[in-house]
Amino acid sequence: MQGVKVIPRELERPSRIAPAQKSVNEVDSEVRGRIEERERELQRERELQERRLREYRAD
Amino acid sequence: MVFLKFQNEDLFSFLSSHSVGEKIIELLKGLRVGNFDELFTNQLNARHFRASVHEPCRDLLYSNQGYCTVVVYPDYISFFVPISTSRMYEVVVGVNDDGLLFSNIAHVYNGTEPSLHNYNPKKLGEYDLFNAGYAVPVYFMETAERIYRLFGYDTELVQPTSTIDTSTRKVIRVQGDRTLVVEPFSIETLQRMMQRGVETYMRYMWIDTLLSTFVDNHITAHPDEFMNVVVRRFFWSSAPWVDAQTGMRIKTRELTDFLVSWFRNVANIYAEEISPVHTSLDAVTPNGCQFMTVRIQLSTDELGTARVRVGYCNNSSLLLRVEEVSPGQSLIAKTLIQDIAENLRERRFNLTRYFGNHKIYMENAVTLPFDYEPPDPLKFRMLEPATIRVGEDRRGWYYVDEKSLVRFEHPEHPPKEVRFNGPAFISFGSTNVAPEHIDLMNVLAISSYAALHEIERL
Repeated sequence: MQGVKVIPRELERPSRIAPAQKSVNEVDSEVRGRIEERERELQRERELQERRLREYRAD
Repeated sequence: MVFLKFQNEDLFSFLSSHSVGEKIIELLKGLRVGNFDELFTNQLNARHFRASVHEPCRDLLYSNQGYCTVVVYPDYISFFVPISTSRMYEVVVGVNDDGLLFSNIAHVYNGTEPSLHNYNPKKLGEYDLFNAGYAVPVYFMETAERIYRLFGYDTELVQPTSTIDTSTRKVIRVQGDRTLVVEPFSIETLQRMMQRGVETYMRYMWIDTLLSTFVDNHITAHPDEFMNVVVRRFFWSSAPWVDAQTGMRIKTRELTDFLVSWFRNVANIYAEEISPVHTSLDAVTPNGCQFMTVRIQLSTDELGTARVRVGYCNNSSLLLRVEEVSPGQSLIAKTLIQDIAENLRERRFNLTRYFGNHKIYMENAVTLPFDYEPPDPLKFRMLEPATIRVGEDRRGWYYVDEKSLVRFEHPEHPPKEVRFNGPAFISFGSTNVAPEHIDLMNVLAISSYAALHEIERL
């Protein structure tokens, strides 16, 4: 029939695919995870510097 | 304690006249010859009873462990079975939905005694119920309150459809070993559940607002991996807050004055300098950056208050870190909380959950936690849109109200339908049984398969 657009029934059904959105709680815990990792990195750097300083003084 | 001395037949007629279930009385009658398998809901329960009650109680005559004791209730019967000198099983036999009996090791007493006297038991007499040469004391209790306590519920659903009163917290046995926990709904509980998510959202809303405020005023800004707001090339040699003659030293006073004035006059955000800090819990910077002790406080009616730490990088970037926010009575926080509460009442889902062989179908219920998507005007502009998760610490609970229906289905039990007379949070549990009950049931079930397997091998 001209002028009539037939939509397959499958397309009328609500999609099971939903946009994946993070919750702000998840975003924040990822950021906090990176902050903690950076803190550990800084701590390692501080310990390394202290060790070098002790070695230098010992020499 | 009332003591009544009966003959066996007198005992059974007494129990019959006190609303004790017919199958319970038939079980007591069948103990002498061990003829009771047909009374149980399935062979597994019959074998469980034989192994946990009938055989041990028959074998106790010459042991020094003590003897079995029986307490009868209208629809239950407890057998106290000494397993060793210091351990005792309480095996409860009750009537299933199919009218037949089930058997559970409800509790194991390790060196302790069951507290029966709180429930006003009547001692009916002592009878050689097991035909084992010793007299078994038999008690009677008018109600099954003690059994409810033992199994961990307050009441049972008997009718196929019921409406639950949601004004008080209660645990209801619905079907088989499945229980329904009901907690009254309160707006305070809901607010507590939302508080953390809304506060976090407001903090990111502040970061988003700072970013968009810079961008709206033609200043490019971006968030770094730690969610600090970065403004590149903020420090150049002739900037009023830079002393180029002393190696690009930052003039803190001039910098603070500029930032406060810019936020007030250009960005229309109330700003003031607040007391400096020397340490900060999460003031972490990328390589080559550091925070100063300078802090400013920003406020708007919409967003509430944010305390912002100021920092700089070797590449001349400015860092702003939103350290803490107090959304308090801010317009956006109030709108978010109100909108979440309204959506909770309006938006419903149909859900199906399985617990063992129980299928639980829920209509017009909301699962916790749930994700709330803020309306367009309250979405982030510069950051990726994000939802607010509500009730993360209440996983396994559901919001229900007058429009909700919960239907319990099980292959061995008739279905039950439950409605509610008001809003409530519900969750599902199971009746208390001793780990020894599960151990014995598994041994009985697996041993049947092992026996079949042996026959097939021969």
